[in-house]
Amino acid sequence: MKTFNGYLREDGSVGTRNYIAVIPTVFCANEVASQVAEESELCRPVLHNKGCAELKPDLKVVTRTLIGLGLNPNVGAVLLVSLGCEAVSADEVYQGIFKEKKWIEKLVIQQTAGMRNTIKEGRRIVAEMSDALSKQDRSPQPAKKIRLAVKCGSSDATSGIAANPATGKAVDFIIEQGGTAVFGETTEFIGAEHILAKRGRRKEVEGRIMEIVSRMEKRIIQLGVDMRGSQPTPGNIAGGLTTIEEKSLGAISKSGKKPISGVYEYGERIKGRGLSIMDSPGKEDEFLTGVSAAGANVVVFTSGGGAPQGTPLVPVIKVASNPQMVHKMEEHVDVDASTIVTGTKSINDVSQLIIERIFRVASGSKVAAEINHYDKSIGIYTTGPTV
Amino acid sequence: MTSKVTYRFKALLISQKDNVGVALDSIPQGKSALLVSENGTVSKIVVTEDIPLGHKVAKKDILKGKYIFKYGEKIGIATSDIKSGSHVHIHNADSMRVKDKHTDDENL
Repeated sequence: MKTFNGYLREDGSVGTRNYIAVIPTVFCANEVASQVAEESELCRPVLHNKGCAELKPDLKVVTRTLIGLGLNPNVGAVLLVSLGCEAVSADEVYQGIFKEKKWIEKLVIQQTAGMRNTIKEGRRIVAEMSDALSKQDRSPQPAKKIRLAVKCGSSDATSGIAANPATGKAVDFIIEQGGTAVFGETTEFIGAEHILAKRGRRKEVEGRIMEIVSRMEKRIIQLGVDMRGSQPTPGNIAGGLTTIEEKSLGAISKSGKKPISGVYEYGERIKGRGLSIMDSPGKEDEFLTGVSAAGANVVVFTSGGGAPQGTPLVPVIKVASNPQMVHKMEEHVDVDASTIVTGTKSINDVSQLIIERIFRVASGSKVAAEINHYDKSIGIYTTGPTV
Repeated sequence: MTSKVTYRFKALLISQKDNVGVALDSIPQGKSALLVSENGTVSKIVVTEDIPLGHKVAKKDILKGKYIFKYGEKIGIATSDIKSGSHVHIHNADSMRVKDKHTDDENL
């Protein structure tokens, strides 16, 4: 049975990293969070631009996402930084994290009286957390504790035939080991949603898949854009894609072939095992933040052109498949899937490489985005206006 | 039978269930290509037309009205008879949604 070395948490989940998440509840607290986080290498500031001046439905999403980020298995301790007047309830976020027995402290800038005092106090707290966390050790954990998210970005003609199918087989493997996997990017399902829906474990899942696609499409049509009618694009057609089903399946192939157990809202925590969908945009920072809040502890991100970004709380493994770009963008590539395109390795061969890399990264091996420190972006997906 | 010939041209069979391969090179008419499947097994395919890089070539005959399979799933329908080795694209294949479109037109 495959194992990896991870940090076992109180709730039974396992972290592939051991971070102190410094989370501002509102963008006004970003500067304080950022400076507090300088105190220790274990700190990951989770800077974002939400938390206030939005409507209730969006505030609900932001609250849920911030709680999820604090509860991510890769987080050993949380420092919440609030301004004091923001629309998101810092107490609600605190309680959401505290009740799951995660170590959390909270500072309110307007109460601690200003930036300098809060930073000073924050650094003291974080130093204490850092001291404790650095004494924690990894221990052997079963493969079923892997919580994998998959995404494709900077896609080109090779993504759909190489990186994605190979990644899909790695997802199948994780599910077969009893693990958890999640994918999303709802706009990519347009054209193949009925094929995807058939993979639903229950009728209810089928219905939810159709619902999230329809909902996303309605939002787009309201802006006067016909996504369905314009796919595949002339560029796609020139490149060999014949139908929208083919294009969508090229993206969906990264999810493998297993049945889909659940469909979650953006930033919602995923319960149980198996393969799930999270309603999400393809936008990299928002997707990666969403799956971090959902509880992913490792991500595989396929790319044709080579995309450099990661995310603060979860290691992102880059699988690239365009032979020219794998060479040009090699500092951003973790697994080379271009061998499928050159015919020197099979899809199965590359899926084995991806699986091996997932387990090594889960055990502590750094990904390119971590080595490059190209992993600071957070984005929270909200759909309403700012006010 | 193992061949010691090194194939200049290659195509990819993403799933064993597929009836099309994806050209990994631009394959000129009349040439043989190595068709590599997901698990590494190989077979030979002779193309009867130029197949551009990234485009599909029929692995076997596909009759008009039958499904095109890629990724082990239906990606479209043949809109005319397709012979093994020929180019499969918008001129002889279309989305399955076209069927629904035609039905709507008939009801107008």
